[in-house]
Amino acid sequence: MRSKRVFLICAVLVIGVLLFSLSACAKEETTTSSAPATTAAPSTTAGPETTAGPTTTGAPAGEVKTLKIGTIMPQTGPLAILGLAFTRAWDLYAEDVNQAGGVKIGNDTYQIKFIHEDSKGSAEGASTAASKLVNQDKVDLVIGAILESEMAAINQVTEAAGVLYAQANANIPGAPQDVSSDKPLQVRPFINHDETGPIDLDYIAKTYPEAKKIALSVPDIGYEGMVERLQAQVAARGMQIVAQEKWPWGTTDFVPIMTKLNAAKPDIIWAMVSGQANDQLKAARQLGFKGVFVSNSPLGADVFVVTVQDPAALTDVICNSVDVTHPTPEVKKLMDAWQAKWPNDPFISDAVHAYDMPWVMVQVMQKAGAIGDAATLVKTMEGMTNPGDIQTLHGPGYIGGADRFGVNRVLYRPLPLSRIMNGQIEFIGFMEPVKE
Amino acid sequence: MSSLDLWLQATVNGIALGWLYVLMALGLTLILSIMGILQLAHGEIYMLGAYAVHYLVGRGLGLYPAIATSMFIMAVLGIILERGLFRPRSGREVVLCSIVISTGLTLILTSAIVVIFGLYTKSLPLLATGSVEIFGAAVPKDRILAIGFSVLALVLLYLFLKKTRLGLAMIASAQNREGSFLKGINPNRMSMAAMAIGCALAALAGALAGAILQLQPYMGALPMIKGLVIIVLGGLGSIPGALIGGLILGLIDGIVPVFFSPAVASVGPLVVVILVLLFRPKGLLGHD
Repeated sequence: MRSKRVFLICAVLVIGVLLFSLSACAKEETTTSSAPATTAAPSTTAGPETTAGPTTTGAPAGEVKTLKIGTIMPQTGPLAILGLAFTRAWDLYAEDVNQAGGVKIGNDTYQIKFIHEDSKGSAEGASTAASKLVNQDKVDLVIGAILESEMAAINQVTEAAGVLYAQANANIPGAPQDVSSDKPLQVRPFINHDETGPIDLDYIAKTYPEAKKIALSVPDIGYEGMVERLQAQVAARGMQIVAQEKWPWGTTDFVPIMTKLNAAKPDIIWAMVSGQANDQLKAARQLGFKGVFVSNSPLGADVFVVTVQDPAALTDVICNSVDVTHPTPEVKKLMDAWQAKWPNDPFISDAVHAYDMPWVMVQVMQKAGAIGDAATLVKTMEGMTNPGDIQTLHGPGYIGGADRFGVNRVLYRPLPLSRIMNGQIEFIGFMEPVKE
Repeated sequence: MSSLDLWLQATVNGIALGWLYVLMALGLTLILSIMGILQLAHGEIYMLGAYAVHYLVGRGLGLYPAIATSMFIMAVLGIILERGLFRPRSGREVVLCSIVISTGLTLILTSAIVVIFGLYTKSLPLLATGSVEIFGAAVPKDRILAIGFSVLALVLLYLFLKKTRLGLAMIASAQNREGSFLKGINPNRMSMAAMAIGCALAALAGALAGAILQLQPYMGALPMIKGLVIIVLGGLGSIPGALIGGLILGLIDGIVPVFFSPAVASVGPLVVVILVLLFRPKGLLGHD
């Protein structure tokens, strides 16, 4: 009995020491996911005109008020990685604003306070979080949600309470949960991923004129509308979609999907908005696909380089995410702030989109001259349709969407375009969205 | 690409996946047959094994030495878990306790990895790059290597169980715990060995899967479910059953998405399990 106790105590001590040393060492470690140093070709076009960052007031003159923004993101469960990137970016935005003395809206100066709530990746969680933020915390604005079900749940609460809701994502642009005229207090300071379609197709037509046959890899989460839209854009350029495969959410092994797509002998494999486009590229190349690979996902080109590893596979890859190897000064500032605060975690390019969201909403409030009255704010936002009306980390943008969603409540801003050749990232430039 | 090439590519991929499942299921079934418990945190040992390789590679160790070291570390962890948590004690309901303990362990180990390594996806160095052409079909080299390592592990396990005193004692203990005890075989030692071997195999599976796919804290859940399906399909406690069940599941996952759809493939194993249990309630190679 005594020897058992001694063994148990020793075992606990050994585990404790191991965990402690592992934790300490891991903190020093540079993870393989961090951005690699790449020697990139010079960009062919200049980046966007740089903006001054969030408009702040300097030291406040009088009473400083608080702008309370409630956020609802999955902070637990498989989607927590996205929630984490977004909430961190929002915290960094608040730090930037508050350290500069706050933001001037109308005659008042506001410090920004975020109240983060966990949606748990579910409609129920999102609804509970929204109720708490609206009824208990009395927030001025709610931002958040990754899933369409979460958006619908939040909107039900915010509309009833007359609080402005800015959705943080659009998996399926034009879905019933997206912005529309029947949701008068819902806006989207976030561009649709599929706006990259015409940009990528034009670039391919110019750079790879022989490439005509496209195979589509599509997550099975309701992308039918996006596929239809892409089909029309493809047809308009004399190209053709020769194969299309849907795969369920949670797929990790893409060899079966790519085996099937590759059988159609495409010139281009197009991975539609997916965080696993790198796995798809790896599988496609392993199966002998040598054509152009397009990823219009949030996945950065640097993530492809680090995770796919094989330079032979990392060729003729077109990416539409923020290129963290060629950041604008503002993005670089954000990246540096991230690295200073969370040195062990690689910068996630989603943070750039996220940082823009409260910034866009603050610009709308500044234009309206007040933080209250959600309906007035929406009306003001709907009027900011001229290029340059909105500043973002990607460059000057505007509010649009009426042609597609019936209301002008969606952020449009320049979209980055990069290409990977022989394992090296080439930044092509920031491209203006094309209306088609 | 001809239909034959497609079949070949899909089959090789299915076999590679199947062998990874076999490694998972072997550990589970070994632990189940000798200790009589369902180690629900086995998926987390698989994940931990992969992260250990990631850590060791980051410290400068080569991939293969890192995999071997990770297997050793997980084997030691298995022994510690067996002695500290799972060893039957008088007055304690073994099955219920093991389920509660291993469920808790699942949460603790996943959270520990999130705290230490973060939520972000990590990568291991590739086992190999490119593919080889077999009858006109491109077969990824890394999958062929994974099959090779898995077969080697199974052969070594088989030789260990059949040719060594400890292995024979483990088989005896699995067949009849009380009887083997009367013959002088210490059941606690057998349990310890089963946990060590099971955890080492899970670490190998995790490392191979991590090199082929990617690492993330929740990566153990799906293989764990596959492992459970396999041991039910193959027969509780049957090592040949785990082998056959694993390969069946792998082939379903490799072939069905190519010729039907991934959605059908996700239902396939459950349909097979139901059919097998209808006609053979103890599984394909199960026994009393």
